[in-house]
Amino acid sequence: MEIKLNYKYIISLLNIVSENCSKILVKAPLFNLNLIEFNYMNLDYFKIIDSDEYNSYIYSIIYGVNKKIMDEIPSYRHFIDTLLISGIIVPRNIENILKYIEQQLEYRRIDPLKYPKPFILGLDTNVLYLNFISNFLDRLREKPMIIISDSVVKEISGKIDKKVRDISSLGKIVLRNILSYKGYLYNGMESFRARRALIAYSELKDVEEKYVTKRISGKCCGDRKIVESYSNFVRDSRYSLTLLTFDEKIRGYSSMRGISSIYIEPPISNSYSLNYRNLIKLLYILSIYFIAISIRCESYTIEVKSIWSGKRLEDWLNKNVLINTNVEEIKEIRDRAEKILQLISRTD
Amino acid sequence: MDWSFIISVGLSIEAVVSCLWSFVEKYYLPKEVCFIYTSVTERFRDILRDVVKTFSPTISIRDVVVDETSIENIVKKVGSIVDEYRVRGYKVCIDVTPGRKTMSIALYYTGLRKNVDKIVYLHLKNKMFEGEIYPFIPKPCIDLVTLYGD
Repeated sequence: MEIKLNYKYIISLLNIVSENCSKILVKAPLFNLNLIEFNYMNLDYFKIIDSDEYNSYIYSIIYGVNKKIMDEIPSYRHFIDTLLISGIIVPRNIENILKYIEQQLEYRRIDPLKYPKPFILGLDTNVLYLNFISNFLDRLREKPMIIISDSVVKEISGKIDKKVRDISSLGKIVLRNILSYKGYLYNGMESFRARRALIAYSELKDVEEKYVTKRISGKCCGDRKIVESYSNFVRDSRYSLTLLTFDEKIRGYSSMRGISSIYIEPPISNSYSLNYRNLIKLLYILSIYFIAISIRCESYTIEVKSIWSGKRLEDWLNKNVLINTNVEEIKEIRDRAEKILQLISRTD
Repeated sequence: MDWSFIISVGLSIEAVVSCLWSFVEKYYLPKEVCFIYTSVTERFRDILRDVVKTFSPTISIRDVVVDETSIENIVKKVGSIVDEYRVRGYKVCIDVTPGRKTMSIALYYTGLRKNVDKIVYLHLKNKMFEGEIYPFIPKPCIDLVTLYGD
């Protein structure tokens, strides 16, 4: 049975299949990789594929592959990014960042005469790509105002329409082990670059919904344009803006234009901060990076596809996936839960 | 024998939904559901009626409004409902999870005094899932605990 669901229904499915087994294996069927393994009952076991195993497989399929097709294959670095995007690995200096932001907000609150300019944050594109705000800034009791440059938005939206053109090469050359690749790939499907941009776009929409935000004008594209737009905004406004970025390089431009910045240090990739919420998010993000994942638990296999012909932008924003499963109860659960959620929304 | 399900209603509809859903999944689909409201939560009446219908359109629903500060009054009112269900041949389950502590105390006391068939409490072990409905809560984070009865 194939059914379109919000990714949170993966919890319902895991609840059902884990009655018979607790150890879950997650594979990327198109790439023939065992990505992660975990114990669903208490999360005391969580294992990711190591770089040697990952890279040896990737090297075995990329021989003679052209650059365009290469761009469709997630590297090990991309795989580690999925852990960061889901919040399972944490930037090294996260505590200092949060403390710094809290302090800046507090200074202004306690002594507005001494600190007349409200503290606000400007975002670099990578902050949206790596879901830093939804994963980490939500922990703050008081939330700062967030400024988003059009340069950032244009950089993201310029990529969400990128399609994979040569499906048969991707299917035959790269995914030659998978006979049924045609069930996953189709002409006009979103490219890897587009899929990552859609994660960023979805984060942008979430941030705009949950935070006080302001869009400012800016030209496309690149670090200099981003800094320039924040600099122009600060010059004409009464705010004290700090740029938040994962990129050391942009800080130079930022400093030259008199904009302070916070560098988010890359996480330590073998130190996990695992919980059920970020685990489920990881499964969703993996399905986007690897086109599809299969979740295996003894006799059950749940296949989660992130792209399909006819998928709309609303599906991306609602975080819908296409699930192939033999767990028939999921349809009844979905129908009831959707009706109930609709009823509850009436009380808001 | 058919089951009746008595449950207090607090400010979180999600909690009421999760209690009913987990009871249905773990035990039985009740023939009758009785919601114990306060003057504050009474406004959820229509919504919860529609929620119950998503489980089965044939479930009967009863709404009772109590003064949450008067344990004695709640015990009296709920006690008479339990008696009535018994006369009609129902087994009785009381869920003490949602609502104020006074409501839970009153419902638990009533259950013991009337020797109902089951008193249950939905233990959410992880606060992260507060505000979510049952299907979106991982099984290891939630447990329908039987406080009394089989």
